[in-house]
Amino acid sequence: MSEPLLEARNLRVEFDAGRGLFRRKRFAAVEDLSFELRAGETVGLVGESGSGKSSLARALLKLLPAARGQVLWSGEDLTALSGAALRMRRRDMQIVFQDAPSSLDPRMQIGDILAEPLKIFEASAGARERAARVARMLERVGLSPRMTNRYPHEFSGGQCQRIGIARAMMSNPKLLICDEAVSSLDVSIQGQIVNLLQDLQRETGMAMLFISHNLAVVRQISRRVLVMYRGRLVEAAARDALFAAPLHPYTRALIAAVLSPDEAPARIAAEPIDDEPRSSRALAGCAFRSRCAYAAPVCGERPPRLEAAAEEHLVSCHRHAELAAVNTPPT
Amino acid sequence: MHPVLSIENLSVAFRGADAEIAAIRRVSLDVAAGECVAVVGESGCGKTQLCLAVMGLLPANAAIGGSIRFDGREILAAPRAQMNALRGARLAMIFQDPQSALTPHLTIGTQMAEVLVLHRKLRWREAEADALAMLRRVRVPDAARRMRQYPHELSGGMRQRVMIGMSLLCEPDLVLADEPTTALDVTIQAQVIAVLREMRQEFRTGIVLVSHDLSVVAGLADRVYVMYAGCIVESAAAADLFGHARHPYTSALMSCVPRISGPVPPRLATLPGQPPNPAERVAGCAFAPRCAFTSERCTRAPPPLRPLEGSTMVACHHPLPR
Ligand SMILES: Nc1ncnc2c1ncn2[C@@H]1O[C@H](COP(=O)(O)OP(=O)(O)OP(=O)(O)O)[C@@H](O)[C@H]1O
Ligand SMILES: Nc1ncnc2c1ncn2[C@@H]1O[C@H](COP(=O)(O)OP(=O)(O)OP(=O)(O)O)[C@@H](O)[C@H]1O
Ligand code: SF4
Ligand SMILES: [Mg+2]
Ligand SMILES: [Mg+2]
Repeated sequence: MSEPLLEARNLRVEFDAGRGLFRRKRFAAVEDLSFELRAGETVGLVGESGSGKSSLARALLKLLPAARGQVLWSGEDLTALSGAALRMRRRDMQIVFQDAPSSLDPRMQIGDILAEPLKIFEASAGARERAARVARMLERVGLSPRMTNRYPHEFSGGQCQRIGIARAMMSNPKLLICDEAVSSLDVSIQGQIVNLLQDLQRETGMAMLFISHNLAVVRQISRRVLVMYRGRLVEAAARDALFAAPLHPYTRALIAAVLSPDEAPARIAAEPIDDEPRSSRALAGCAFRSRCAYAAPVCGERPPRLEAAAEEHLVSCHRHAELAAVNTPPT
Repeated sequence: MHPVLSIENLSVAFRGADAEIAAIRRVSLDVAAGECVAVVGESGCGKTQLCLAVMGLLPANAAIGGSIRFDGREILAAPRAQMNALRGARLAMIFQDPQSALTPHLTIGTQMAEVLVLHRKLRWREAEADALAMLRRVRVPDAARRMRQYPHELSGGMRQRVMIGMSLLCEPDLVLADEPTTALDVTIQAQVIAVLREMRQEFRTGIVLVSHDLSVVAGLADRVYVMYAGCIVESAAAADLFGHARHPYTSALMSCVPRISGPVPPRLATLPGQPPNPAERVAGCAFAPRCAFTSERCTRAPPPLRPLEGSTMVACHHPLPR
């Protein structure tokens, strides 16, 4: 197999968790996370709100520092790069941020927002060529080329989201990270954008990391899917295996909840509120155990390790083998 | 009893550099106390502007016409002081972009408590205690710690839950919920919807729910209004609409919902074509160029919104059969 375009190795991302008595406490938004992404491939990333998906995305692009571990870009350690060398690589990695409207510069007209990547990375393109490419990209995301002289605040939420996608695509990146990039679109335009991303991927061979709470869209676009819970990878599998036979109890609950939304609250125990900051709690056992319908004594004793349950299927659960055998997967 | 919100013939237009853009065209809509009315429609069709019009928060370049009555009183041209007193207390909005709606340099606890101190005249301590209880209610984890954090230190979905909690703090009579669940996973989404349901029952809160997620709409709304290019094209009881869409746009929209089971299609379904340019006047039905049922009449005369059986209203010359 070819060398991965992007690889995370044992990545940890930390934030301040407030001040303790003697020193600042840190907590890990992403902990010991490893995965690979190949050219032309789309990997979906799902997980509970607050599980660390956006933090991971930012750390992969070095918009956040890695407290531990490495990010490799075509085999080269990004965590060691800075300055001009890093800017060079950045051209090839683009992200569509989760909060689209506030990620656009309010003082710039959208024509300029979209032309900017061309000015920086393709200085040879003249003004006319830039304008033509901006117009074409606007049309592809379902916006009118007549809108180029408007400012971000003159657009709807979904229109801003499409501007963010158009901007990211302008420099023909090798990697595109979509962080809830289609969440503000109606189902028709959402379909149009997902189809567009898949077309562009076929045309250019770009790789995508597709973060979304919308499992139907994740299923459509991904070859493989990663599931995060409390900063850790708890399951990773090929798309069909994950949706047909999820192994981790959290993944099972998540998929079951989409299949019958009315029963969702009953299917998964509510988050216990106001307990210890997550770092110390996670140490003792499995982080999901307080909500897990299958928790056993061992789950409180030590944390489960991410291990291969089948080819290309990783799961982090003490009981995955038993559960795979006794439970019919949701259909 | 009069409805808590009554919008009649509302029009909103933007003066642009070269043309006038009609964002909302003669929209009428009622919300009764305790009722949830959903507004769905294409991205850019005018849903957010509708909510902002009710809040009295339209941008400066907007021209507004028609009537908006809140609890029986006209508020469309209400003096600023009157709107300030209503907003946050009896009338609240969950903004589509929580990131820009929350104040970046204040902690979550401070901005929530301020709402209660201002509108409920609570003492700071009590206000903080109520704010904390609300954060727990909308299922923000580690709520006590979150009180001391700034908006940028939360995840997207936590900011959204804070936004929802903040809007409910004063037990408002009306909540305008603009895409309240876009950053929530399904399980938390279900819990937040349950909270909105409780508000309807406990405080008779009326809700205007704007959402692209039709399963959220189906789970919460009593009545659904479908907008296309600034107009209401269909309105019906939720059960009727999801059972039998009568307008070709509604039906086409529903057929685009991606599925979570069954074979994965090579491409997702979409509506062909583009919505009309809002700066241009359309002679007939605005949906005609994209519609599978267009006749000559459709391109000539705009279809009026008219009642069909039950409480269903449709603006179409050839509504789909039941
Ligand atoms: N700048 C920051 N300072 C402190 N904590 C932060 C910061 N950014 C994120 N966090 C915390 O890190 C955790 C993970 O947040 P992240 O935004 O990565 O979650 P997410 O999986 O993207 O969630 P969502 O689906 O809600 O967007 C959360 O507990 C969040 O509060
Ligand atoms: N300040 C403004 N000046 C000019 N046009 C505007 C302004 N604000 C919004 N618009 C336009 O008005 C129309 C309606 O916008 P609105 O935000 O209400 O859409 P929406 O239905 O909420 O869409 P979405 O689902 O994408 O959020 C859009 O076409 C938008 O471009
Ligand atoms: S009026 Fe005509 S064009 Fe418009 S939606 Fe109905 S059938 Fe289609
Ligand atoms: Mg996020
Ligand atoms: Mg909107």
